[in-house]
Amino acid sequence: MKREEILEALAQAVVVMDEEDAVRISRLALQAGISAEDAIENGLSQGMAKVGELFDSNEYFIPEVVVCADTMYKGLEVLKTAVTKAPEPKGRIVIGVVEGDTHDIGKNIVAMLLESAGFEIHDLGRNVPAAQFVDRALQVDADIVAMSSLMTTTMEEMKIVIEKLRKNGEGQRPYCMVGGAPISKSFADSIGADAYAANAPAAVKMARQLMERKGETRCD
Amino acid sequence: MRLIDYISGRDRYLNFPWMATAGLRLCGCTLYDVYLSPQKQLEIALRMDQEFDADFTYPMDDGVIFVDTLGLPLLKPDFDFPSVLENPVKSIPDLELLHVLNPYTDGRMPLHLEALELIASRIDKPLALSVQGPFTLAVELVGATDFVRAIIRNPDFVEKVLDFTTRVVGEYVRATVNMGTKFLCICEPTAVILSPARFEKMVAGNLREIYNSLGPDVWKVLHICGDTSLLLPQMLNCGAEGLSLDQVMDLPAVMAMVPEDMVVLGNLDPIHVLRELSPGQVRERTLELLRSMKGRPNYLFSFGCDCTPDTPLDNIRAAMEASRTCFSNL
Repeated sequence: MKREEILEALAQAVVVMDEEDAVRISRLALQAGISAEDAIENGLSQGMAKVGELFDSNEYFIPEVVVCADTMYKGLEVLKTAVTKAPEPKGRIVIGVVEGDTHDIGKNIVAMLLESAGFEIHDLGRNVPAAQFVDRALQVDADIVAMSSLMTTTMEEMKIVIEKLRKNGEGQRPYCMVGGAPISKSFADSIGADAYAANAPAAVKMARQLMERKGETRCD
Repeated sequence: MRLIDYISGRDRYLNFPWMATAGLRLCGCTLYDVYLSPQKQLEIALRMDQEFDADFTYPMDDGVIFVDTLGLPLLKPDFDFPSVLENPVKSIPDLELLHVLNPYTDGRMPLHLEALELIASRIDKPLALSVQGPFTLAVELVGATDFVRAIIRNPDFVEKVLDFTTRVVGEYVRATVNMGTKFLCICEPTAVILSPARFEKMVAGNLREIYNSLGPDVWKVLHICGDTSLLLPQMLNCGAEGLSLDQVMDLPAVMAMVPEDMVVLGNLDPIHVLRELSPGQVRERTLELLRSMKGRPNYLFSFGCDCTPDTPLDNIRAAMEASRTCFSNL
């Protein structure tokens, strides 16, 4: 098989949720002399990008997105053993569900899609205190802090995190991205978030856009 | 009498607001003070009735009564709703460790039933109750990410969990009907993640089974948060006679799609309107919503979802007062 055919087959294994094929074709790619980095970026990640498109067009729903991501990780397990030089991440993202809220499926899917798109993810889990977002963001020099809330009763926590990041961050603070069922663009604007994502593929797009703005002066 | 018959033929729209934990502020109690005391449940129901004069009466919302009684660890804020901290059911053997709850003996369920009976006996309005639905309960038991994986990878497990949760919810709601529940709203917020086909298979059938077991005298309502546009055909055919919809939904558009005997509840925005605006603005937005429903006898005024714990009480009063405006003054 040619390089293009192998990469296409790898992407397709992700789209059709075939874990055995993801593993088999990942091995085949390495045997064929395709670099692990190439197979990850132009095979597995392309598959997840297609999954995002299918989600956007209501052909795939959340169960498919999660299982496609699982399939991608199966291929990654094989390919990562052959990575010679870890690629520079597209950006560092600290992500979590705000304090008081334990609903984490949205956050998990966003984290999976961001990772598949090449971002370095620091997942703090759910019910995360504001101080923990700030501490980890400083510790890893995060580019973006992504927060999720699925309850109307906990969404205000996001504002607290943003305010703490402003107060505590030395130098330029990370961008703040928010999402979750009760969150809207106007709410995001009202709390001073830099971006709002209505769903996981949108979160990937927003993260890319934020990274393009990196270095711009932010007016807080 | 059907719900549509009860709400129509009047000189104004009736109201069914989701007021979450607002009652705690009126009575100075914590949430578990109320959950564990039928007397406090009554005290709050009376106080809420006095303050807001809704067209239905109800106990404090209790979306965790099943998981609490099943022993799942919970995060329990004093003045907000609890959340599940751990999701222990990862396999059929895990599920087999649980038993279908007996509403009359298990955990704090008997206290809740007693509270319902007390409220129904003291407040002369239809007693409304909201409970978690079988799908959402199943997701709480298993954990959302693992559950959606299992939908594709382990459908037998999913079927067994849903069978269990349908029995748990069914047993309980039937007991609440015996205590005077007239208006039963099953909440399935998590079901919004499903495709229409999976919703039919995993949600609608189980809801139909529960609703059908309640008899004709109980008004059956379904609430799902978020954008349910794709699921509307399935929601219309799951045995509910009322649909409660989120603020993101275009209610006039929905009204044009539903049969005339399907009651639609909604959908004043609990966040951007109720929480954020002034009482005067809340009143105006409420009236706008009512006007947009003009000529729709199957409309029942409600909020899109629970309001936040810090919603100004004056805003709730403004919404409720405006919601009682006669048709002739709209």
